[in-house]
Parts: sequence; structure tokens; C-alpha cells
Amino acid sequence: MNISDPMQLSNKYKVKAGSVIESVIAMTIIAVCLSMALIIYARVLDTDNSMAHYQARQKVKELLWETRTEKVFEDEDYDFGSFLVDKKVEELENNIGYKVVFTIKVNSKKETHQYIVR
Amino acid sequence: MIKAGSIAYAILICIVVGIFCYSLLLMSGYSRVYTTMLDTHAELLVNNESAQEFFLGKVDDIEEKEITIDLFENGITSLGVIKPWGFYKVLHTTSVFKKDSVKRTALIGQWQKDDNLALYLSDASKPLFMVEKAKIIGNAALPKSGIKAGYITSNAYRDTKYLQGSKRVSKTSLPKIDYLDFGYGDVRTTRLNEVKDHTRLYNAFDKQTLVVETDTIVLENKVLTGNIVIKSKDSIYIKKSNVLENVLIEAPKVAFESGFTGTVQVLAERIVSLEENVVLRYPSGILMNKGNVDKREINIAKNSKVLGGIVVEDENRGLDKIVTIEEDAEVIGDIYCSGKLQLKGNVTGTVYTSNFYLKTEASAYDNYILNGTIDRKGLPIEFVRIPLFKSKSEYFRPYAIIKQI
Repeated sequence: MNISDPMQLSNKYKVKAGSVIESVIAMTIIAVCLSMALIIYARVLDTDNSMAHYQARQKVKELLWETRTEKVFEDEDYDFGSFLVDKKVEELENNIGYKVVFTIKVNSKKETHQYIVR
Repeated sequence: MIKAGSIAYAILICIVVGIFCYSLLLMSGYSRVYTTMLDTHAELLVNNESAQEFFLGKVDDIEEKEITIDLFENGITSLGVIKPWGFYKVLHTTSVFKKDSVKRTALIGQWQKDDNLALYLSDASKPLFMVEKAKIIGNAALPKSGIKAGYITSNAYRDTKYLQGSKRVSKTSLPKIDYLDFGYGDVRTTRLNEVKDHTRLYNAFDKQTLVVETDTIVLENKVLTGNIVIKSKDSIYIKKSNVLENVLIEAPKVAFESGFTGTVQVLAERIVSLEENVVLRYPSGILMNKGNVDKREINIAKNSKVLGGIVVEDENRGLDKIVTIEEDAEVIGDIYCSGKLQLKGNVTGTVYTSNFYLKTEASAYDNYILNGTIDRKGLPIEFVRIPLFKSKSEYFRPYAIIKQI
């Protein structure tokens, strides 16, 4: 059977329209779902350390190298703009070396790195 | 008929988004676990390095008893173990956190007092004669009769100043060496024929020392590294095809083929001979102080180098003990010879000898140096010398790492 008239075609398949309420509920579900997805995505991204944090870690290595080579065994505080580094030096008993503690402060996060230097 | 179903589509989208979010959380969680593991391992490495520094200051204590310590009270425990290795010592440091562990091993030695002593020549009532370009840079302890310019047939003294440093009077005997251990701890043995040619055999320093016993004289095509001792009851001829790193050689007679390069410490009884162009890299050494023999002899031929030290010691004064350093040969480190030293080459370090001698085609001369130089000032302050005198005045400086192995 050849059906060329559109009206005839629409009569053949009867499409029942959904109610307005159904559409609203569906849109609400999708909205809630997407907003939750967005929150999860943002949280996941937020858990990673910031760039300043990695810069601070690298800076600690640099400061440790300086301490070793230049034998600077004194307490010092450094402000590098996006992060702070505190250096505390403690002499070990029997003069066998020094304990050097670097504390990184990035935003509200703190991290400690400890070394023995002779 | 197709039913309308907005909610069904919405739920489908929710499921897809949910799967996406779950995957994201899962990946993030695993990533965090992995990062924590990496950070912990990095901290373990740093802690291990610090522990090594700490144990370097406690070497004498560790020698008496192994030390285990939680250095920063962060749950990482570190263990330090000391073991002798020829002239030097090996410090083995292990750090453990839960099931993860990190090890590092270093060859260590003590820095010595910077006394600037270039030569200690015991007083046998004969002056020291310097011929042609012979020179001493640094302080010297000399016989009462002093140091003079010498003359041998056509060779006279040509340089402007043969002693660039102060001098004092020496005693009739050399300063006594403290007990040289030259040990290597517990051993397990194997035969040389069980070691494959051209295949690297490495034995770590935290394991028992591997003693490779050999009856064959010629050692060739072997690649041996680490905690290994090559031992023979007679002679060993080390061909240049061998690759030897940080190993010990123990035999009455040892010879190195021309062109050989490696890091070895040799414990011999009768003779050690380095043909031309042999380089024993730092930290190497030659020790002769054991065995009941009639003669002890070390020959270092032209263009050969020993970086570390040479010790020939025997209290038997009637025994012939001869060290010969040929022209253009070089020793960087100390030489202790309780016999005769024929010096035609260069020594960067300190020489302790009972006597110098010089043999030419025409004759032999006592206490003559022809063209030889001793340069104490050329030795860097960081150079860890072989331990000879353990009195506190000589050894007040701390232990240092010679190399990580």
C-alpha cells in the first residue's frame, strides 16, 4: 500500500502526547541530576593540589640544596607570594648534624618536610 | 503506537550521568590513592637519605651495635648497618614504612686533618737528594741531614725550589699504622668457572660477600660488580677485557694487563704489578701486610694511575719492600711504604717511606728522587684518604660518603 498523503500517515501512527506535569517532572529530574554531576565534577577537580602547592614543594628542594651547599643552619621565613615557607633548624646531639624542617603554607593547607643535613 | 515518555528519557539521562559521575569518583579515588602512595614512597626515599646522613654521624656506635630509629617520629623506621670493605667501610641504610622499604648503600671513609704533610721520610742519617725536576709541594718530615740538590752522572737539579713547604725532623721509624682491617664480613663462595663470561654478576652489599675462588691464573671477560672478592692461592693476571667495579682481589701475586680500567682494592703478599696505561679508579687501593714472604714489591708502570692509596707494611726490617712508580705514572692518595720507594712519577697526596732509592743502568742510589714529584696541595680537601692513623688528633673530621654503590 502506497501512502503518500501525510494526513493518512498521521492517522496510521497515533502518538499520545505527555502531560505538562510529566514534562516538568522530567526537566526537574534532569536539572537535579546535572547539578549533582556538576557539583561532583567541581569537587573532584578541587581535591587536587593547587599549582602553588607544587611550586612550594619545588622551592623546598631548592632551599634544602642551598642549606646543604652554603651550610646556612639558621631559622628563616620565606614569602613567595602565593605560598609561605618556614625553615626551622635544630642541632642534633653530639653535633652529628642538623634537623631541618620546612613548613609549606598554601592557602589554609600546611605541609611539613623534614631532613637531616650535615 | 509509540507512547510519550519524558520521564523515561529523563531517567535514562540520569543513569548515563550517574555512570559518568561514578566513573569520575572512582578515578578520582584511585588517583588519590596512587598519589598518596607516590608521596609516601617519596617521603620514604627522603627519610632514607636523611637516615644515611644521621648514621654517618653514628658510625662508631653502629659498628658496636646496629641502630634502628624512627627519625622523624612519622612511622618510618630506619636501620643502619656497617660492614668493612677493604680500606673503607660500607654503610647500608634501610627504611621501612608498612610493607614498603627503601635501601641505600654507600662506601664511606673519614676525612682527615688537613696537616699539609707531603712527605714523611724516616731518619736513617742520610739526606734526601733531589735530582732534575724532583719536587715536593707541602710540608716534609725529613732526616736531620735534610734535603739537598743531587747529581747523577749527567743529571743535576734543574728546578728552582725542590721543597715548597716547611720541614721538620723525622723519627727513625715511620708513624705506626693502626690495624688495617681489610675485611669483608660473612661470605659464601663460588668457583670462577661458574661465572659466565661477558655477563654481569652483581652482588649487593646487603647480602653475604661472594668469594669467587680461582685456580686459573688469567682472569678474562668477566663482569663483576659489588660485594665480590676474587680470591686465588697463587697468581692472578687481570686482563683488560674484565670489567671490575668495587671488587676486592686477594692473592699473593696480582698483575694488571696494559689498558685495564676498574675500581678494585688489592690485598697481595708478594707482588702487584700494573703494566702501562692501567687505571685503578677511585676508590681503589693496594695493601701488602700479610703472609710470610721473602720480598714485597709493587710496580706501577708508565702512564698508569692508582686513585686511593698504597700501603706496604711489614715490621720485619730485613725484608725487601719496594714500591716503584715509573715516569708519568701517578698515585692520587697516600703511599705508606715501610721499605724503599723508587719515585720517578707523581704522587698527589702524602708519602710515608723509610727510604727512597733510585736504580739506573749504571748504579743504585739511596735516598734519591729523580724527576718524581709529591704534591700534597693538589689533593682536594674533600678527598677521603685511606685510613692509616686512628688517633683522635688525626681523625677528628667526620665520616663522608665516597660513593653511593
